[in-house]
Amino acid sequence: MSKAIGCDCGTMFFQVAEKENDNVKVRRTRNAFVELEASEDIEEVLARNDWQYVQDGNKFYVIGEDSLRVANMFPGKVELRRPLQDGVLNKNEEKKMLVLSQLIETSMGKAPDDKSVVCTCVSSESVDGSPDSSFHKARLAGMFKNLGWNIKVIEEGHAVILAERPVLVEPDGTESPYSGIGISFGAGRVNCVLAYKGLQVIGMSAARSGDWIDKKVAEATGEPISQITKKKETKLDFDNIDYDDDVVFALDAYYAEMIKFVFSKFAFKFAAVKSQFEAPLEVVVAGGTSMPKGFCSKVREIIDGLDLPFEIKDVRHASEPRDAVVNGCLTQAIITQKKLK
Amino acid sequence: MYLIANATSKEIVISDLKLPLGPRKAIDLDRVRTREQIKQSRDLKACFKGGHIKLKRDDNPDHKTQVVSAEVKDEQIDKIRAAISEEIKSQLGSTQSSPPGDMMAMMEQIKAMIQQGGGVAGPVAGSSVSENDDLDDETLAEIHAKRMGKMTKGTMGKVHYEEKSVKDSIDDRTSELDGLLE
Repeated sequence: MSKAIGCDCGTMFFQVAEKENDNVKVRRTRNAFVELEASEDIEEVLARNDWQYVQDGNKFYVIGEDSLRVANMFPGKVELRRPLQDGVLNKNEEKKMLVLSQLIETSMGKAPDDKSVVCTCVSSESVDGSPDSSFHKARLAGMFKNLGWNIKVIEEGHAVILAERPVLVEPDGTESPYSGIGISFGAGRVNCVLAYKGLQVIGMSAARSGDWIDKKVAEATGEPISQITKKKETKLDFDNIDYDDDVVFALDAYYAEMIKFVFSKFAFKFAAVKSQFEAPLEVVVAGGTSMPKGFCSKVREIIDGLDLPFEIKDVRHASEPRDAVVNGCLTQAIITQKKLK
Repeated sequence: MYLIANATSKEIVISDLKLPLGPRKAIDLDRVRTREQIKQSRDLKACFKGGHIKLKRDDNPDHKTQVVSAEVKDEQIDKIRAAISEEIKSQLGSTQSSPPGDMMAMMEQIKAMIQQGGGVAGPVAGSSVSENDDLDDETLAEIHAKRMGKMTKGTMGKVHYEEKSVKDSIDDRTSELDGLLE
């Protein structure tokens, strides 16, 4: 029986989504790995610990959450690596592609028939000189095609729109669904798309997101990145900033910088289509970097201080911020599959 | 050959060479401008500097001045025809003053091909394949699929996933979008 699957291959997490009756089932794992040196008892070690791994000949790569455990067990001796950097595949790192292709194969398997579709997402055009996604897109498509899938690729911000259905109220009072701004604040990149009635109008991305914030705060405070990430996930609350905590204070500052950067760049792109959009726009935010409490208020606070060429109706979080992108990809996969039948 | 490619998804116009270049298109500048003009072009330099245009191949990196003719003159064609005619005569070992009819037809064909090749001043597409050149998505995916098939032969994985199932109005959304996108 044909399948339609959404796949979000992110810098931090790898996710796939599939419809199951009235529900959407999402499967997720951390998109990271460590390489283990070959030894006589390596397979026994892996089995004893029940670690997830990928084997290529006599090389073993522990992946997912287990890779973090191994990295913590052997600090300085094993390097935690990610298939993606700044949201894209590095074409010079074949081991990374091997790991990613196994994640794809184990999560989705081969296509059951020639009408099965996978929809995945890539970053929009970069506005800050970070690597573009043309190789990434082609290589990802190749991985799916190798397993027999029909492929549809959309931009990440567009997936947020398809999942969250922002609505534009036209001057005459009519409503245009799937119209507004979708922003995915991922680990490696921020992706921002303006859509109208489900169709993308403009898109942009920047490598100034979660990883950038962690790195900048670590540089400014001297704290290790692991501590920064922990505070970001547990202590950061934009409605209640602890100004005595240097890390929290720095996080607040760099988050503000990121939001300002994204909207300023977006405003520049928007200028090309300004005349088509006079009504206020709804903004939907998603992604792991948007998870701290009060993030939407923070966005509102920053953009109120900018002179933007568009009016914002409101800023809201996706209903499931970590799953919005994969959910949007699944939505598109189902639509594409219907057209194939 | 001085092959350049537009690395962006928008048309670029190299103003001082009066040359438009479509998104992801490549062109051999030696076929349409002299090397002097190319080297003196400030707009081209700015495009290189900004990363909007990339130099794919330069067969004359010392840029010795060459006169590259964009046209093949009739005298050159006649010379080539005469040389071919002599060659055929010597091979046929014949006392005929001119080659037989089918040979003439072949030489006319060759002449037409030379004229075609000499006069083109348009994009040279696909002469060096890289991820930035203008191959369609389907072909690119095929190339990468083959590479991945080779790379992952014999690979196996044991992976667990964190799973969750959430009630979702995806059917409503897909129906609504179907209607919008028709």
